[in-house]
Amino acid sequence: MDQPTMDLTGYLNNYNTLLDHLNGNNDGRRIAVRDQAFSFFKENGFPSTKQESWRFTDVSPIAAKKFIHSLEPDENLVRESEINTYLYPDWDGIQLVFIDGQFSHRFSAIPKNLDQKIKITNLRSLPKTQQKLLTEILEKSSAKNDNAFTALNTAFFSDGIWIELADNVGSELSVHLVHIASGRQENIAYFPRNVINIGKNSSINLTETFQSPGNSLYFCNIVTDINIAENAKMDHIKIQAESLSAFHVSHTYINQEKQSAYKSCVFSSGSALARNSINAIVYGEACETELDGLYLGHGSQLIDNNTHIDHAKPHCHSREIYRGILADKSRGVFSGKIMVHPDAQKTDAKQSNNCLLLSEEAKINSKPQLEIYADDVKCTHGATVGQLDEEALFYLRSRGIARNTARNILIYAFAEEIIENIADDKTKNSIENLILNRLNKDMNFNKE
Amino acid sequence: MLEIKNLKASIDGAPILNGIDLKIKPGEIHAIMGPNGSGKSTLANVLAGREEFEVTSGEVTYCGHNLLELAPEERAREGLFLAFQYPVEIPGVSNTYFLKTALNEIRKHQGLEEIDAADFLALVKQRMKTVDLDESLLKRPVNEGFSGGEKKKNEIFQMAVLEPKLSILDETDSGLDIDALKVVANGVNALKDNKNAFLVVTHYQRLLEYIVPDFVHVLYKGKIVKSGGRELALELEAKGYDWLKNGNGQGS
Ligand SMILES: Nc1ncnc2c1ncn2[C@@H]1O[C@H](COP(=O)(O)OP(=O)(O)OP(=O)(O)O)[C@@H](O)[C@H]1O
Ligand SMILES: [Mg+2]
Repeated sequence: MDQPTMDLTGYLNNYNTLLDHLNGNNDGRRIAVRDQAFSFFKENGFPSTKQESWRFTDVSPIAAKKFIHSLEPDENLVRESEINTYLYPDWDGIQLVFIDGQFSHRFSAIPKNLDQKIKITNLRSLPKTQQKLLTEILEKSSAKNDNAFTALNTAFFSDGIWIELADNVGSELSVHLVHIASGRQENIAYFPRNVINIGKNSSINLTETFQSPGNSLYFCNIVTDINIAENAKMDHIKIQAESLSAFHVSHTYINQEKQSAYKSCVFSSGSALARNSINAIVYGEACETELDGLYLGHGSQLIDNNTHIDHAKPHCHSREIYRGILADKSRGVFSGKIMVHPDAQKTDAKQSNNCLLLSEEAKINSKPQLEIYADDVKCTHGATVGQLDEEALFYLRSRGIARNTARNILIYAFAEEIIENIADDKTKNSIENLILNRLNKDMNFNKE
Repeated sequence: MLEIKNLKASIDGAPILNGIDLKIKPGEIHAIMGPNGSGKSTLANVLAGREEFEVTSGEVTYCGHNLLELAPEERAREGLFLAFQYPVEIPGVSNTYFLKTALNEIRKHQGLEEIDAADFLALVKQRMKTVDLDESLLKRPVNEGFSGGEKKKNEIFQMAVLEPKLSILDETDSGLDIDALKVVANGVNALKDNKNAFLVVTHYQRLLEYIVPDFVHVLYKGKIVKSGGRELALELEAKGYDWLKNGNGQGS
């Protein structure tokens, strides 16, 4: 398939509108990064399925759409009662709420007496000195010319979150980042940009949730740049359960310095097309990288998980476990690239993607990709595709358990390995509920 | 309790059961013996409702129901239990959760309330003792990594908790050491009363010293070729099956 057709005029107009709107709020250097990224997009267009890393993911439904870009926050887009359903009750950590990609001061909760060593603000409210830092980060980030989506994000972002932990922040920080799509207007596109810097010996737990009322069509295109300094730790959970008509494309770039740990779990059950891309550059020695994922597709959803771990230095461990459950005509894509550079001796990398197909029309494309240039390493990968075990199903039924319930039990058990790895109970609970909802409601596996 | 009339079943068009007649009354223990491949497990599985087997003719009445019309779970809720010859491993599903769900489905069917956690625990502990099963196995996924003997004991343990009306034991004694064999027998004898019944498939008359059958049947090529009292088991042990294969046993 050739280059997806797109509405370039629409993007040009949107870009000019943005520049007018910024009206001098961005300095020349920032505009230059935006221009550069926008030029990349203009020249390259959306990725085609001829490109290796987009082979199974046809983005023409996104390319073909005319989107209206969200420019300004509007906290009245979603009813408060609705917003509350997306928040964790009794959450004592930091809560950051974005509506259509724009920060909401009203619904967010950042304690006033926050440790001086911790800086959390939305990008719009960032003080001048840090604005300059942000520009430097944008200039350095691979996002500016990685692909059309990340370039679009760089060109168009108007808000996002800035989390900066200095060295040696004693306590472990917990942050819930809540993205809500209002669905008030059709065809909204928004481009959140997050920057997270964790200083030496500091640690953070970040849970990001993406949800939306109803079934609206919109496009969330997010980029997150993360730097984890020496001996620092990040536990990153993402729950993507958006409207089944929406498009979700996310790119997370992680730099790991020595002895740091990055642990992520991506739960994806939403949108018509979702692409979760994680790019971990491990350029320090003795790092830990854990990427877990659980994806649930039904109807005609396409869920693409694209991971890349780059081992540059010795004595690093990475472990990747993805599990998929696909019903109806849904499709899953998993690509897991692991690159081990010549210097990275004693690398220990494990990867697996196991997928459960619940219908004959569901499909998974699994593509492990190991490139190993060091000789003293342990790297393994495995991918399995299977149906529900009929023998196990009969066993459960033979003990009085109804067929639907038995199916649910087996499906749930398949997902369990990922869920039980999640440390935070509130997050675990909310994922469990999303799964049960999907099993009971959307997939008609009524509990008897 | 159970009446099987001229039951024929096949798999992928190949006939395996070729006209079985069998009647089991409450309080009775029946043993089925027969050479490998004669159809013993097939009969057990057809009774439990396995869908791969096609019933081509015959009738099965169980406690007033047309058994063949019931789904496997409905049969179980009506008190039919099959201890599998090869119990399947179910990763990710804990033994306790599984058993509690099963028990509650059965209780619901009987119009009883769900058992509460404490009562369930007490019941389970008590029944584990009767089958001498280690408590740690409860928390583990169903049969996963269980030894052969533990799998078999787990079947009897489930039987002891679910208290079925008709229990079909498919070679539960195979692969068990003598102590485990007694445990299985204890499980059966503890449950046995004049309202329930057992159909015990075995190759060894040894088990029948502990579980004393009222009737012994010999299955050969999908048919019951001889029936008798418990002395038939001894005779089989001494003589093997050859004398029956020639048709001598027909019309016992
Ligand atoms: N799923 C199947 N597909 C094909 N043939 C089958 C299947 N299940 C059973 N059979 C065949 O049916 C016949 C009877 O098998 P069954 O398992 O009932 O024997 P059995 O009497 O229980 O033997 P054993 O004493 O070895 O357990 C055998 O020839 C077997 O190969
Ligand atoms: Mg058998």
